[in-house]
Amino acid sequence: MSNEANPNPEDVPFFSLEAYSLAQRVAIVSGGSDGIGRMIAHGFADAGARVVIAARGEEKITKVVAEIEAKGHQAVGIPTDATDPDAIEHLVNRTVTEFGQIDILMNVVGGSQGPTFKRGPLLELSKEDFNEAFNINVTSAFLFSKAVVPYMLQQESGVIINMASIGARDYRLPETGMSVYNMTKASVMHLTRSMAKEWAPNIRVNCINAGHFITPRRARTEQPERRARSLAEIEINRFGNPSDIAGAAVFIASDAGAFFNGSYLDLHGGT
Amino acid sequence: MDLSRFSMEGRTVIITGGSGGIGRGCARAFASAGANIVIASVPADSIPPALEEIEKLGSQALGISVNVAEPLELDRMVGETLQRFGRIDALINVAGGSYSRNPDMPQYKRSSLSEMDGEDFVGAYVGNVKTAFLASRAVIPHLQKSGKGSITNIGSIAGLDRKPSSPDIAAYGTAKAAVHSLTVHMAHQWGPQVRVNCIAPGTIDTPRPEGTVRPEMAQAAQRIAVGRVGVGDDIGSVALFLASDAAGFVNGIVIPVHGGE
Repeated sequence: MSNEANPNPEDVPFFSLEAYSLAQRVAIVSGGSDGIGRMIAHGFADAGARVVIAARGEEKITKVVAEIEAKGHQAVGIPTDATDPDAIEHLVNRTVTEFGQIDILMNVVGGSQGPTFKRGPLLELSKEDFNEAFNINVTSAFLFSKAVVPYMLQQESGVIINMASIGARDYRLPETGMSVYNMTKASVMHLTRSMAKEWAPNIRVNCINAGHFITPRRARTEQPERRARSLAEIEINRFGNPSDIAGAAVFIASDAGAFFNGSYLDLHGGT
Repeated sequence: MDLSRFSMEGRTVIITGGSGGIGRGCARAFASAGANIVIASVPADSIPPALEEIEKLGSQALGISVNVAEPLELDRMVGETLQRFGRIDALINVAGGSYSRNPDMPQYKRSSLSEMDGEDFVGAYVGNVKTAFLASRAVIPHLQKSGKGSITNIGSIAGLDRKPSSPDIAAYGTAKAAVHSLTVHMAHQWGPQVRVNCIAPGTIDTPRPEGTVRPEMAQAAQRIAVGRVGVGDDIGSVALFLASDAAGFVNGIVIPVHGGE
């Protein structure tokens, strides 16, 4: 499956399972030291990619890099503040120095609450809560992508995957407390489409709308009643696991996703 | 490098409309992943080349000429499949289209709504929705036994678009929107044992009878972000993902695959 226009569809070479391989690829995973980012970093490495973990907190980064290396794959950890354009620039330059290329950017960093912002009913939120949520969930994806895209354009190839949420998709009125998070993830969905449009034809940009995955942070903070409510919503009767998110991300990042662009994958088990 | 989560080794997949462009793309993908493949298609003469292609990729293939709008014929399809392979793990509902191509199937043609009669309108529904429903209903008991069962329907961005690409696909777009909705209902009723999803392809160039020219394809390529129209393999690779363990948490969704439109 090449990017060349093919005048005769019957001439397309035989499909091969290798289309799902990420061998020879270099992938940056923002927020890759924990939660969904860590699951994807492992998935990319298992599919053959060399992985750069860009996150805060050196200790956790070191741990994930060691885990990946222990499986015989290549990984590098680069402590990066996702709100700081200079730090992101540094990350990108180091990646190019280290590996000579950047093929995949996986924008995972984000969350519904964090050290600098809380979630809650709208009337209880401050301007800072609102703006910081946007910074962490939307602006970060913009900054990472903006820094990486010049290299991808030069290579004439690249894949960007943004992490959105089913909270951006639900037609039902959302859960109280998730207002700003859902808003930021809807923004990520739309940002994805503009990126796909502006950076065509050689860079593909998509997003994953993740449903309920039990990340370490969620396991620590979530009330059991809310957990049970979430599970009851899922048709396949279980939460998402590392293999689920890895499978989806590897498919999109690989050549198997060659015609998947400016689009989204809902990943929620039927919710 | 481990790609085993995309493998279909030891599993059997039925592809309706499996000898056409998207169907052939799906067949190639599943063959590469080691599945046993059943090509269920109406035009009997289109089956042998499809089987040959699959066998070249090292997979076993069975061709069954079947009218997927007829429950009795679908029962025969299930029987022959079980006899040959002993199990059914995935169904890909590709049969359908914006107009009827096969003289043996219910006939319908494309036209704008003002010029369309009720027969053509219903024909698009029968060809795209009833077929997917009946084929799914015929195989569901076996998919539920599989442990890894899944159904993948083929919808269309024509069923999602707010700006239809042309007036003569109104009935088709309406029918494909119904396929999208049918997907959700199937996932709801047949889960958790069976996952059900739908691919909504954009512009896919499929092999045409000789002498048929499709100038609209070159035009379409210009509005698609990746700079080309899709081919059968582009949908096959998504269908394989959806049926594989890699998509274990993908259920009840419609995934638009259009290259960027």
